[in-house]
Amino acid sequence: MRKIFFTFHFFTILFISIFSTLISFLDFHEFENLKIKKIYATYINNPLIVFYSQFSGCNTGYGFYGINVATNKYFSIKVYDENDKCILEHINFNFKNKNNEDRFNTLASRISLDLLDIQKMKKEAKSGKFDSELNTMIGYKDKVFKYLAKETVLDYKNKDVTVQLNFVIPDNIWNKNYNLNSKIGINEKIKFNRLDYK
Amino acid sequence: MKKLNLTDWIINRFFKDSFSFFSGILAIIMLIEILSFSLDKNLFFSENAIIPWQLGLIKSEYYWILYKFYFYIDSLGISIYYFYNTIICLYVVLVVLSLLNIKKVWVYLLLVLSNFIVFRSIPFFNYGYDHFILMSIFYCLIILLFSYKYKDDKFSLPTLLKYHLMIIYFTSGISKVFDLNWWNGNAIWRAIASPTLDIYIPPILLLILSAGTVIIELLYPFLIHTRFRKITLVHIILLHIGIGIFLGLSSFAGIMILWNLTAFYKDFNFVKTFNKNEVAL
Repeated sequence: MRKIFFTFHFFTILFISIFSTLISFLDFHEFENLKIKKIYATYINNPLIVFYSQFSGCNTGYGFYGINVATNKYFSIKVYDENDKCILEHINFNFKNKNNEDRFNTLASRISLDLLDIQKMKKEAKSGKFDSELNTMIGYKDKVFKYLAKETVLDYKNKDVTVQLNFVIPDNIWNKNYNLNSKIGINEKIKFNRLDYK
Repeated sequence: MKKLNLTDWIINRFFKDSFSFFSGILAIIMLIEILSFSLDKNLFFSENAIIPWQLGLIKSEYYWILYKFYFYIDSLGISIYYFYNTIICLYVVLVVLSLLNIKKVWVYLLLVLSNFIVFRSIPFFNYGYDHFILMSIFYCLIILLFSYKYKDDKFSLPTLLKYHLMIIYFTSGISKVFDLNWWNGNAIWRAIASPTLDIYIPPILLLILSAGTVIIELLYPFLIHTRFRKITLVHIILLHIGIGIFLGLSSFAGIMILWNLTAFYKDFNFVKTFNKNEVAL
């Protein structure tokens, strides 16, 4: 009994870790990998496996900082006056400690991945294949941005507020003064005002 | 009446066996994390949360169970936020019971469930630490269910953690090996560069660190069966200390170090070391 249980346990971990690593490698190199994804989905979507892997926590957490290491991402909020001049910018959301701030910043990484998917789907949607799914994803992303701006919009009732998803573009370490040359890119930027919250 | 000796209690609580060590340190990490989380809990899960919890859950893999669960709680007329706060309190009590060395299956079963509810309800804000904490509690549960009564069992906690770590590090190493950035040192800088970080690390050091990470992760499953296992362990621990300091993921680093120390518990038997020193004295 114990032997069967532990064999099942480690087979599940091995299966999930190998397939998730393989899929992220193939995705990164933009290889067609429908067959592999299908095999993975067949096992992982089995109700027993879903239940077991989620409650044991072994459904995710492999290949951390693997291929194409993600750079830092964060949200920033900007408030503009009538002349469209930025009068306030902040990147903290009133967290009391850094641990929770880091936890919050995982949202920025998740939304960046969604934006990549949206971009990919937009390319493929020219044939009209993904229209409804694409609209749902865009609507979802817009909603997240809208909630992020909410408090600031309510604080600055007559001003425009922009929510920006930023990402760090580090310089190549073999360049001179690489540590001073990091740039900030903008993944997405949406402007709101109080009329959006009626 | 026997006098209560704190040193004896600590040695007995934390270093009696691998399970005591693992569950004790785990409880301390969990207690620190949940108390720190509680300070900002309202920003994650409340009526005034930055993002409504429903929005995070709707796209997550936990939707199938948690949404129905909260719907049920709501249908009973119980406030979801009141319920969530109660579960956090229950979680703290269970962590304290675990810290006090209560080795009961029900404690760890309730810990799995309450941890799942507290952290999986905010999937937008989950990271590596959350997954490893749940796995750690789960290991405590299955050890109590299946293995704890057997001495020197082949399914002991160190053995299970060793196998699990072998899979984690090897697949993690494989995913890095095909990325040029891990071989030219850029990967670590990509991970740590931030607008607020003002630090210069010599590129050659970054190169050694990143290539060293790939090599140690790839070789981990093989080296731990050789006489190099202690040096491998020291390197892996240094790697996690680095993650904790430079990436700010101290809780995650803490839990990974705990897994490694428990997996090699026999090699670093602290009580044995303590007794030896006493004899020498």
